[in-house]
Amino acid sequence: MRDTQNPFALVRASDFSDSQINGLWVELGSRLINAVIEPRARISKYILGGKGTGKTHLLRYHSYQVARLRVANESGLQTVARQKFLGVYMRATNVDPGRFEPDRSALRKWQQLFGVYFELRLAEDLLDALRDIKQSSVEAKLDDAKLIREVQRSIHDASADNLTTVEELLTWVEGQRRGIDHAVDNAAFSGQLNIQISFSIGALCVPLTRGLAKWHPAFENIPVIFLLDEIENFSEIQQEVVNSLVRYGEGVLTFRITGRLYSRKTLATMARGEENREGSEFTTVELDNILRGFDGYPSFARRFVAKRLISGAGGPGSGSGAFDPTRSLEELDSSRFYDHHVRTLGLESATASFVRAFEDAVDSADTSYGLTDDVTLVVEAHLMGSFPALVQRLNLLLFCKKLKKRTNPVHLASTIADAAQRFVDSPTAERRSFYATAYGHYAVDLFAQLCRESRKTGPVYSGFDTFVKMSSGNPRNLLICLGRLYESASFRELDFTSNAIKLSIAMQTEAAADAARFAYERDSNYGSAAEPAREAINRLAIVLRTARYALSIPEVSPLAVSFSDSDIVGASKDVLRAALNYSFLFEIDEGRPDRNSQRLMRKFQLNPLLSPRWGLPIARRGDLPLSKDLVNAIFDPELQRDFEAQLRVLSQRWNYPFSAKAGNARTQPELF
Amino acid sequence: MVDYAIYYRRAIDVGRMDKELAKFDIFISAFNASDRVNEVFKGIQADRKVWMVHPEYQYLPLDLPQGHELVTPTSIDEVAQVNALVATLGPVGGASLCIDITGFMRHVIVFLVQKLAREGVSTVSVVYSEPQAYAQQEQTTFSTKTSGTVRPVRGLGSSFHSSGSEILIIGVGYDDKLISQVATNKDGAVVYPIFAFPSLSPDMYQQSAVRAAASGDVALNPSWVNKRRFAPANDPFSTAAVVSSIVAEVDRSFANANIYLSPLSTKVQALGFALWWHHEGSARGAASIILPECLTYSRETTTGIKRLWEFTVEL
Repeated sequence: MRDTQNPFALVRASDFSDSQINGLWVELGSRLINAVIEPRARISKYILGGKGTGKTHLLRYHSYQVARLRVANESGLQTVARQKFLGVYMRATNVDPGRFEPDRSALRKWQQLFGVYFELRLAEDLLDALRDIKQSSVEAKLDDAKLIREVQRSIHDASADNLTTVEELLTWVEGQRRGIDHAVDNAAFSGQLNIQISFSIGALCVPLTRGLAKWHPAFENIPVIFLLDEIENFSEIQQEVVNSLVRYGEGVLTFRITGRLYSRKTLATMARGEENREGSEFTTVELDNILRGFDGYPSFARRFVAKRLISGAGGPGSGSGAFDPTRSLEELDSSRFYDHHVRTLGLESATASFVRAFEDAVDSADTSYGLTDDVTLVVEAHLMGSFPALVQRLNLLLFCKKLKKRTNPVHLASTIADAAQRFVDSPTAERRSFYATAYGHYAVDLFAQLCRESRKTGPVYSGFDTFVKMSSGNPRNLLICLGRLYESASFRELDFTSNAIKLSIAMQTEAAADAARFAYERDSNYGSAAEPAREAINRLAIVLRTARYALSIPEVSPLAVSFSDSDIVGASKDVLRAALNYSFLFEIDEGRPDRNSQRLMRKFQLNPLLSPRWGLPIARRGDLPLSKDLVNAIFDPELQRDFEAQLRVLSQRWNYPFSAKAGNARTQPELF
Repeated sequence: MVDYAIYYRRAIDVGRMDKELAKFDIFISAFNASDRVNEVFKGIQADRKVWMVHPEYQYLPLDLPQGHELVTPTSIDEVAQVNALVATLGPVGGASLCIDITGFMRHVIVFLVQKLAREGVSTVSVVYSEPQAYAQQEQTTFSTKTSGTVRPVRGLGSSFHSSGSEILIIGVGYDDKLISQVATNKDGAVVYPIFAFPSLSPDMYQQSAVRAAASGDVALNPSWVNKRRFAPANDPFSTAAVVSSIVAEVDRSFANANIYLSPLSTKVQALGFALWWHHEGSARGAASIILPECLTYSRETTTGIKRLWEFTVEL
């Protein structure tokens, strides 16, 4: 086994040193980044996104400490002038917020204490930056006394009266914070919270920030931005504190607040104050939507991968910078109806399986379809002919979809076979035919069916572009896939990063399945709310899988579903929200009214990183409409039996298209 | 650095526990459905026997044992649970005290150790019974519902350096979801996993390794392997010694390191983490014990009773 460190290991931005944050920064485009963070805007902003969308990296990159390292021999004051803002980074978990809610009957008292403590931490980090600016800008005339006087006015504690320098103020702030730490710990044993608060919330950071222009004129138009990371770790009443600082920060306290999609628990301010309003006190941007719709993501992904190798966790190929991931991964050859893979993967054996499925469907057909034994023999002879396996399968699908009760089955089969023959003989000339269109729609799904039915391989996933699509604009998801691939290759002594070899489709498929399993089973432990969401996703994926592997596929590349917003009720609503929050599902676009009923329809797509777990496609085409009963059976944890019953009905409808009683379930539920 | 080797520990023959263990003034155990908890409760000689009924087990009044004092706190908060216990016990000065930690919740064990020390208790006998097996081997579920919040055990929050490196020392057990939640909460930390080895039985090490490997991205981090340490699953003092040596190593490598400890392995190891904090962590500062909030917990996770240990804890 190769003894190298996986360059695609899931090292998080929070693990990086300040210099690594700069080294691993891959520009999405300054216009896009500025639109997201808006560093000079005086209004606070929430930047929400799923795990791995780069929130921490983005905030830390814009912090003073990291910006300082980007230009050598620069003074702190020069850094601030170059940046045109002063970014102060803090992780929400650094205040250990769970300590501040021990007593539910006195939440407001603890909220006040948390507010003071939180502000002390903000002030501490800001003062730490100011101390560095002072130490590195020896030529500048920095007036500590004026700055301190601004702060002293709002502190009611004699111990602050004699402070004269930034360093002394920092020491005083640290002392205040430690005093609260000890008081909170002691309260657990004594039941008494003995602490003297020396300022009210907002009375430390507001004057400190406002006083900067008096400290040095260079700060006259420089906004101070507090970059607060992982806000989901704050409880509702703790977020009220942040909201109050956002609202009453008098235009001088500005925040960029990042968190998961579910992170924002309230918009209320403290003491039952008014709620902050979008557009008035804050704005919001959702990174997932931006990244999923970002046209430059594929090229970003390649640079991101190359950077990982160069910055190198010491992997082979690191330092060369010439690694092209597309050249190291074997891709599916779809030419000549996937003939190459049908032969190499041994998929011919699948033919018997899908013919048997067709014959089962014919056996259960309503007599009005006219599918007698004699007729069926002729139909099969037409449809199967000597066509390639994939074309045979498409012929059966088209027959299932086009056969109506008054249609002549033999004539229909003959027509399909003729069209197939013309397409096989001359695909280019026939590119506008209905057959070519059908082939374009269904070829990928039918190839997946062949793979599954042959029992020699499962559905396959290969090629760098496939992994890029699976990552859905999320660089962490890409790392999950490539990390698995690298491990698998290393285990086989294969140098994935040298471009000298191509990793097989089988190996890539195995890595994709591993990545899906990791994302579904191991990377989603968010507490009890995640469990029903995970189960709902399993049910949804089973419906999609039943559709994709049906004899009469109901929708091309089924990965998305749609349903009316008014149809989802009760517990299902919460579970759907959790599935979105934990990025199991993506909402594709805003709700749109149904053309006929004018009801608001919503459309959701399974996270394609999960697709290999159920053999689903990684790109969506159509969306499967879900009935009210089905959507609630999927998302309501209590409706498992209903779900199984509904699934049997769907399976019947999609696998026995000529049956008189679509609801007469024939399938065994455990097969799904 | 404390020499934890000198603390007293011994194995007790389960069939002779009434003879091998001294008679105590007060015996406390946490009620659950495991054989080992109930056998020890019956077998130990004590003037007063008290059942602590953790709300996490969600017992109904009808399910509760008869004939002994019951402590039935309603809040899962460790302060409320321990205060309820202390209020029931009354003054314990001078009394010989024995606690069976087998069924106790981890956050309560950790807080109880500090509380007893603050109450002036200088010595307490702690017993722990090893199971024959976990009920469903590596599939055994322990915590059944969590709030998603990870927080310091009350009173053990400490005061941290504002810009120090974060170190997370995890006692690795079967509960991969808890490991994942803690690691996510401290996701910038350098992780030192302590695996329970020697385990309670040879197969249990492998079972815990299998489960722990499912803990999300922390288990993919190189430090999961190259910073791995081992401590016996059934010895709190050796566990405290391993924690102590890790912290010494950290202090040699990092200035102003902030230490977070999360004991997610056996209750004995949780006791070991608590003892390290009591003897060294509180004085060192910038060290706290953090745990995910468990709302509910399985009542029965094991079968049989293999060995019984007595540890003399000096505070």
